[in-house]
Amino acid sequence: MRRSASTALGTTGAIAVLGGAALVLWIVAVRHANFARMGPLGLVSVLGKTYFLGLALVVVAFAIELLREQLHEGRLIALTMLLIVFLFGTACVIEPVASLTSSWVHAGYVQYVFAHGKPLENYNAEFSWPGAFSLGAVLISFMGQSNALDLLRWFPLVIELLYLAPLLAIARASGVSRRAQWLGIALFYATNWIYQDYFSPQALNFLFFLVVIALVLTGWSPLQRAREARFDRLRDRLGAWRGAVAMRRLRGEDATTSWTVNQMLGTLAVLALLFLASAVSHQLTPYAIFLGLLACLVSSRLGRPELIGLVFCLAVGWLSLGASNFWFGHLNLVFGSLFQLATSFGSNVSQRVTGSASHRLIVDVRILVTAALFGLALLGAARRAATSRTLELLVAAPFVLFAVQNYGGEGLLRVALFSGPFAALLAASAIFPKRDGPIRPILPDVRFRRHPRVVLAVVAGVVLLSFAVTTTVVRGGNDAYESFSNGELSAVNYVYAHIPPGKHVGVVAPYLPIGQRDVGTLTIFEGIGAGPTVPTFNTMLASMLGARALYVVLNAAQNQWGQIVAGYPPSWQGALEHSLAGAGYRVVARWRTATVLLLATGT
Amino acid sequence: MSWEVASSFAALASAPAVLVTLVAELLLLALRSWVITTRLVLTRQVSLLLDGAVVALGLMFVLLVFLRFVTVG
Repeated sequence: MRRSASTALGTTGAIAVLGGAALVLWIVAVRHANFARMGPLGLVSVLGKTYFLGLALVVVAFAIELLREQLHEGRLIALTMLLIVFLFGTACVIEPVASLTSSWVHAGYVQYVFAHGKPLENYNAEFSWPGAFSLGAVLISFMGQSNALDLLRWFPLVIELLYLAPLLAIARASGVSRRAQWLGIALFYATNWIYQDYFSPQALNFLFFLVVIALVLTGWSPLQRAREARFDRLRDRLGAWRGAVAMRRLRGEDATTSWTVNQMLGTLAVLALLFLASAVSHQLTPYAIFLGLLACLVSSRLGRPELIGLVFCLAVGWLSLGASNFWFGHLNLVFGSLFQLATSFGSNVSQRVTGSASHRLIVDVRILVTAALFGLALLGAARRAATSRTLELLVAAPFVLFAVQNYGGEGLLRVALFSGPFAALLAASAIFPKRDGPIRPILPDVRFRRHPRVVLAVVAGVVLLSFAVTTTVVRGGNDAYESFSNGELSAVNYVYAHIPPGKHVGVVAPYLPIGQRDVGTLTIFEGIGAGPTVPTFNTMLASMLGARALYVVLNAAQNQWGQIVAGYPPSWQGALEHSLAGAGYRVVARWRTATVLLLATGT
Repeated sequence: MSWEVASSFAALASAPAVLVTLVAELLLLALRSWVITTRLVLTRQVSLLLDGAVVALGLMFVLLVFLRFVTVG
């Protein structure tokens, strides 16, 4: 007894030492990372061995904690948060200013709403769903600020930490084993290379999505009667699938709740508020919520089918009435990709695997990470016993979105994001499957004769570390051209300070920190145009010379993009600057990473 | 005659028509949710009437939105 207590104390101490050492190594790694030396592979090119050693220590500590008889939730939460800091906080610290042009553009929308009290009409699709920008304007007003720029840099880390709370609730209510719950959460973060956590409505709406599913899964469980049935034979399994569309199930009568009437009414009110917030702030998320709720209903995990009607009516109502500016005259944007699966797949996958060898490698590995997660999830679904197949349906439901809308070539990314948390829990079930439940496992149990828990913890650690290392590489794989230096921000600020209203600023491609001011009065001309394919250097050059923009900004990020993605020669920006000089432009300001050119008057 | 039909379609696709149907459907959904959650006992006829109204208004809402897309969009 005394020996086991001292062993437990020793293990706790070892986990604390490993976690502390990992944190110290992370601090050393980010302090020694030199942003200016970033290469074509992005963030990983400035990370040293200390980062990966620290990451390995976090995973080892996590695996040791999973190995223990009694799991300690506090330590697991601390280790998961440390993993989040490694994966999502590193870029926030190393990169001098917020990455991704879109986050700067969104700050511009927030600033517009703050200054004018309403969104700009007939501007673009995002401004037709202005809820998140209005919330941002309220927030900065509350903070006594005049813009949202201070929120941009740390937003990815903060929002990923916020996702943890609903993820914990989802994992606990999902019906997977306790070890699979924790491993599933860690796997979700370790495979989340999809950069949708920057300052944006979709990042906020993914939080809404997780909270909605967490509330539903914790609020309702399958009725006892349905639980007692066993589905060992094929005929029973087919009967269970038929039951999924029975009227009783669709009326929500196969789900039950242990909550009081007042608790349930409060929950319904919160859900209605979340639906409304989502309907007015993002184009896609309300439909993901709709499909998620439908998956819960047919698997006996939702007792109030009215919620499905509510989110559908609010989403379609806003599209029809509030966002009419968006679809007036170009309805094909909404319905043009309906069931065009082959075309959607081409724009979502094939057209993205282009550019230099390093860029193609990054994109290929991203596809492999997602495929590995879903493959592992399939194995987990076959290995686990369950009370309901809710998780499997929640993984499958977002794929309907892809059949209906290719979302400007990002449909599959969003499907992977919305399916991710549930696929990760199923993937964890491939290692730690639950073996008892009315729905029996499809695959037989695999038992290890000696030290089964140690073997499983080692497997879990190896899988988690592989995913975490790979995601570190591929998540920051575009940072060579999507992250910016102080010089690039100074160049943009110079233009904002000098350009008269109504004039154009020219850029080759939208890879600079621009858009945070003067929404609606300053036009940004892009030399590569808005088409799906990147033009040749000569076509782009003709476009830039023909535009006669008053100012032109050339910077390091655009230069990297030209070489990595567009396939332009290494000296392309020098050649462009020379051509612009010949067409009447002169350099008015220069930093080490950016140059501003002005069109001389009279030319 | 054909002009009158077209005119009535345009009226059906107008924003107020869609909005009124939307609000009515939301109210009915909220009512049904309230009734079931608070375990209020309804007669079978009233219960069927409520369910029928929710479905009918829901279908009408979808139809009006479709008409709005076709005629205005």
